[in-house]
Amino acid sequence: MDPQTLAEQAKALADQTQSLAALAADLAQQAQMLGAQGAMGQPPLIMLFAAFVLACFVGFLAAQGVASANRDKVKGALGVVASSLVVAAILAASPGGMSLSKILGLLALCLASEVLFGCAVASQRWLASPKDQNKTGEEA
Amino acid sequence: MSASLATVSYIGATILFILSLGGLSNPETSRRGNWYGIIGMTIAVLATIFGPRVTSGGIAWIIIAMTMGGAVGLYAARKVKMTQMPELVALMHSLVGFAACTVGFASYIDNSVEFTGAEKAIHEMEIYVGILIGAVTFSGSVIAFGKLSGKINGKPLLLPARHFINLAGLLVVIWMGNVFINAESALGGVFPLILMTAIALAFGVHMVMAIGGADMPVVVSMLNSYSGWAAAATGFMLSNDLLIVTGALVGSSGAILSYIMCRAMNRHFISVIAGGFGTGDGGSAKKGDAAQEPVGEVVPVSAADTAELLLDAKNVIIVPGYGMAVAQAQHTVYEITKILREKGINVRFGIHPVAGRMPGHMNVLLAEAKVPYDIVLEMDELNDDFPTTDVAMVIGANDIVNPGAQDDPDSPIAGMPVLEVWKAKTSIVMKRSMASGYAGVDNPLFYKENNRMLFGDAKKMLDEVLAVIKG
Repeated sequence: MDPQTLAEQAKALADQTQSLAALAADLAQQAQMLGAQGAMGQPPLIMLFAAFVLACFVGFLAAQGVASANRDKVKGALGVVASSLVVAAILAASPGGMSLSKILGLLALCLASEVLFGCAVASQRWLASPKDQNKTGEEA
Repeated sequence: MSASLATVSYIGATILFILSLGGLSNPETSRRGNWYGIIGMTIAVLATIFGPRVTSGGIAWIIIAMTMGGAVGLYAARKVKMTQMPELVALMHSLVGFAACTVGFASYIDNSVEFTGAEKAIHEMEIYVGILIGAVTFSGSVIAFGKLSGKINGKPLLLPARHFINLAGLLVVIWMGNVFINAESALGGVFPLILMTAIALAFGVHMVMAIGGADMPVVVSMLNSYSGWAAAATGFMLSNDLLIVTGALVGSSGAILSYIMCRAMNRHFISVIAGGFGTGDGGSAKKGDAAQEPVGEVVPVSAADTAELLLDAKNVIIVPGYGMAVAQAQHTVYEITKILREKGINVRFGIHPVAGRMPGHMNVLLAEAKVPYDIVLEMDELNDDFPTTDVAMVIGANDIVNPGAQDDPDSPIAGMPVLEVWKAKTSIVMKRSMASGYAGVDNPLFYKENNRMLFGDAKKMLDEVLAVIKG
C-alpha cells in the first residue's frame, strides 16, 4: 500500500471518528435533557394534584383576610403571580432550532412578559400612593 | 443549573408568592407583599431559563421575546392613567388567556416528547382544558376591556334562551373533547381543538356581554381568577409544579374575592360564572319603561350655594364615584376636606364596594390625593349615619346611590346594597348631565325633595366650591 492511499484512508477514518464523536456528544446531551425531565419535569400526577389542592387552600385562606380596600391591590399582585405563565412560555420556546411550536412558544413568551412587567410596574404604582398618604396622615 | 437547584428555586419562589398574598392583606405590608411577588417571579424565570429543560440555543430567542414583550408592558404600565387601571388589568388578563391558548397549541404540536396510553390521554385532556380556559379568559377579558373603556355599551346583552345556548356549547365542547382524545393522528385532533377554541371564545364574549355595567368589578375579579386557572391547567399540561401552585393560588384567591364581592352586592356567584345575572330572560335592561320613570322635578344648585351648605353643616359625607376619577377631582376634594375639617366640620368619605370600575378604585385615588385613611369608611361602616348627616355630597357616582335598588324589585340593580344618601338632611349630586349611570338605570334620587343637582364637570365645580370656601 502506497503512503498516499494510507494517508487518505487515515484521513477518512479520522473524519468518521470526528462525526461519531459529534453524534455521541449530541446523544449525551439529549440523554442529559431526558434525565433532567424525568428528575424535575415529570412528577406523578397525584403529586401535582396534591400540590394543586394545597395551593387552592392557601389561596382561599389568603384571600379571606383581605380588607375590601385592598382587594384591587391584591388583584394587581395576582396579575404578577398569574404571569407565572411566562415559565410555561419559556419551556415552550426552549427547543433549539425553529419549528411552529417554538414560534407559538415565543409568541406566548412575548405576551406573558408583557403581563409580567406590566403588572409589576402597575401594582407598584397602585401601592405607591398609600405610602405617601401615611406620611400625610401622620402630619395631619 | 442542575435539576435539584431549579426545584429548590421553584420552592423558594412559591413561598415568596404565598408571602406576597399574605402581605397584601393589609395596607401597611402591601408594598412588601408586592416585592415578594416580583422577587419570586424573578427567581422562577431565572431558574427556568438556566434550568435543565432549556437548551443553550434557545436562550437568545427567549431573551429577545422577553425584552420585546417586557418593553411593551413597561411602557403601557407607566403611561396608563390611574383612572384607566381597571382597563389595563382587564387587558392583561386577556393576554394571560391568549398566552395560555398559544402554549396549549404549542404543546400539542410539539413532537419532541412522545406519550402513550393513559399518559397520552391525560396530557391531551390537560391541553384541551388549558386551551378552553385560556380562550374563555381571553375573549371575556377583551369584552370587559371594551365595556370598561366605554368602547362597548355597558348595558347587558341578554340573548333569548341564553342558558340553553351555553348548555349546548358545553355539550359540544365535551363531545369535541372525546373526538380530540380519540383522534388517531395529531392532525386529526386539530379540528376538534380549533372548534372547541371557537366555542370557548364565543362563550367568553357571551358571558361578559350578558353582564351589566354596574357589575363589571365582579367580572374583572372573576376573569382574574380564570387567568389563574388557565395557568394551573398549563402547569398540568407541562407537568410543572410551580405553574400549578401559582395558578391555583391566583385562581382560588380570585374566586374567593369574587364570591365575597358577589355577597356584598347581593348577587349569586353561580349566575356570574354562567353569564348574566339579576335580569330575566330576553330583552335588555328595562330602561325607558313608563313604570320605571321617576316622577318629580330636579332642583339645580350653584357652586356658591353648595359651599354655603357645606360651611353650615356639622356632619358631611362625601360619596365619590367614577366621575371624580375621570375629572381628576380628588386633589380638589382633599383641599375642600382639609378646610372644612379645620373649621371643625366632621367630614367623612363613604366608599361603595364597587365604586368606580374596580373594588378599591376610590380608595387608591383618595390615597393619591393624601386624604387620611381614618376618614375613608366602607359603606357598611357609615350607612346608618346618613339620617344624622347634614350634607351628603355625591361626586360623579350614580348607581351606587340609587334608591331604586331598594325600592324597585324590577330594577336591573335590585338588591344591590347602596349608600343611602337620600336619608341625609340634604344630598347634593354632582353630575355632568341627567344621563343614567353605568348600569343604564334612571336614578329616583335626583327627584327627591331634599336633593340638589350641581351640574358640570366635577373638577370645575369643586374648584368653584373651593374658591367660595377659601374666600
